[in-house]
Amino acid sequence: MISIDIKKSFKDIDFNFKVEIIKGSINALFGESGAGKTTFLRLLAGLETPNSGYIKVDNKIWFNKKINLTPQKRDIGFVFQDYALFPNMSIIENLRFAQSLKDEKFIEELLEMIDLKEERNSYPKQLSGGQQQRVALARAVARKPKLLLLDEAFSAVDSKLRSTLQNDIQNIHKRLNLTTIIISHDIAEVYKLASNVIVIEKGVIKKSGSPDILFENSQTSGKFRFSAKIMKIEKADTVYIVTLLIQNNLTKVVSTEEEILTMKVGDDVLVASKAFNPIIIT
Amino acid sequence: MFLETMLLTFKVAFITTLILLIIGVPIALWLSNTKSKIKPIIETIVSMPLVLPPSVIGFYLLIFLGPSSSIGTFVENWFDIRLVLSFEGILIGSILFSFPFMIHPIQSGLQSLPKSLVEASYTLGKTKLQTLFYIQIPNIKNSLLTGIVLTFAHTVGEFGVVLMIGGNIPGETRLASIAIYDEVEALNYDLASQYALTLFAISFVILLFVYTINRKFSGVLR
Amino acid sequence: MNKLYGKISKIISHEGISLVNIETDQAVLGTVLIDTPESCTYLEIGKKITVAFKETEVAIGLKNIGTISMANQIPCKIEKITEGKILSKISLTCKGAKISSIITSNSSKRLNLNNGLEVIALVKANEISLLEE
Repeated sequence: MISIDIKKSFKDIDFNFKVEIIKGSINALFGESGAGKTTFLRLLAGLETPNSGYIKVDNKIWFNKKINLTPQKRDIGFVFQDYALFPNMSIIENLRFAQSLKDEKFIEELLEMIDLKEERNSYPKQLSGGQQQRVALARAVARKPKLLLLDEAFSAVDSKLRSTLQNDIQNIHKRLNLTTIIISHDIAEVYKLASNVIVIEKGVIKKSGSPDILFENSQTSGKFRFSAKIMKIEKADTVYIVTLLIQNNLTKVVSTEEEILTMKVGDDVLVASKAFNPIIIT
Repeated sequence: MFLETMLLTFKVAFITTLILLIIGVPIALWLSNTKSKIKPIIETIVSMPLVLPPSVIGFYLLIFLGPSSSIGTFVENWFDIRLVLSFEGILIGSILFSFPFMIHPIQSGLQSLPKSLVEASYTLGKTKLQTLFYIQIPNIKNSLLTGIVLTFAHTVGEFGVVLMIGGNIPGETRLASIAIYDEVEALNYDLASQYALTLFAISFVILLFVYTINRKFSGVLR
Repeated sequence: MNKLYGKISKIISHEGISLVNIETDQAVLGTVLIDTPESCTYLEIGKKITVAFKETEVAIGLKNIGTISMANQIPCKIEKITEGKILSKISLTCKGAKISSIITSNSSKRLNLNNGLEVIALVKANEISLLEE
């Protein structure tokens, strides 16, 4: 169990993070940019110092009024947004550098998992962005830390690569049962990976619980909801057909004259339906 | 005579560079990291030799290190070393005068390294010293080389400070740059041009060597 | 979209699904939601709420409809019929509220609907959404 209750003032924002994290769980940090997700991870890692409060990991104090463990002593793996691979070291040297107790077998296992056995002697700059990211992940877990922190690690990758990295994280989690905290903007990702979601708004942890909490307090009870843009409004018989752009798909919805009066082309709207109506075709 | 002067010149340059490298890295590291309020003061002091005429530094060194000063007396009594008109004297002068040429490149090299590299090393359990030797220094080889070359070249070419504090004692404090001046004064143009040409050739070779290596480094790092 | 205003009068929840009754001026309407008072803060007895349902989901029954599964029955009077080739829009009034129904023109003719006729508007419970003001 990780218990966190810390305060920090930083750049005019008062951060207040209070949450309990279950050992061995994968947690998604969810929130708008600037809400304080990265700050939360950095405070946990010891890269920033809280103004007050405590951090307790498995009954060991990491931070309180008297104690402030350095990042070196916190036994964490941190995946940085810019990967932070050491340019002067090859892939395998990057991984070896991460271990204080040498464990070549585990390094081989990691290289296999991230599919870079052949490239072990390449330097980071010779790899693609996605490969670098996988190395960064492998390096972060190479010394089998207690806590794995991922700072917006997947923000700059396409969906195929994203899925690969998500699988890597699941594999690592299965193998090491690491307590993991990952920053994510993607609800699909949250559902795929996380058993717990921590929602941060304006520097404060608002709630924590199953991914379903992301739906709480939404304005309507319709579960089938998308943001859409009105592309076209046409009359058809006694009704109107509204063409909507939802992400990259065009879709049509029937509407009435009274409703059309409140809409115009280009408006951003919310499309919702009761959960009972949509049919799923596999 | 000629060989003695040339050897002395490069000896001073070599030792100055070595000492500055050893004390320059920690100072540059501190400057690149610190949020301390005295940072601007230290930076100013480090940069002073860039703007001050060498003779000013030489003058103050004479005053503060001379036989009648307390530092001069102390060092002479305890270590039996004279700090003015001596090899040790010009070494101190060269070190002080070349300070910014070593510190500035290293400091800016350290500052241009992504902060996350150092932080990543810390989160992997590495101490600050391990991080310095395994991560920071290997990734600023270009800057280190620039610092070394600038310091070396600057020391070889130094004139004012050396003349002020060291005088012109053959084999002890007479360096090539002073020798050239001397020979020209004595209308000894042949010897002057011998010094000049040698300095020119050696400097050219060193710089060429450095830039060739530098290109290799960048090949790996970029 | 048809909107009626009322307040929540009854909530029965089971395994994440709730049956919620809303008392409006026109009728008591029931809706089924995949939410519970635990997951949704506005689900509480007495809470004022807007009931919304789409025109195309409103069926029309003549008086004395007899046995039918749809419990949401709103007695109305036809105010106007806009007839199209395929679809007809039936505008209804009911105790100060206006709602409409879109049905096929065939059905409208089959039922012999005309202005002033008293009818029952029927809505399935799973078609009713709740909007928080």
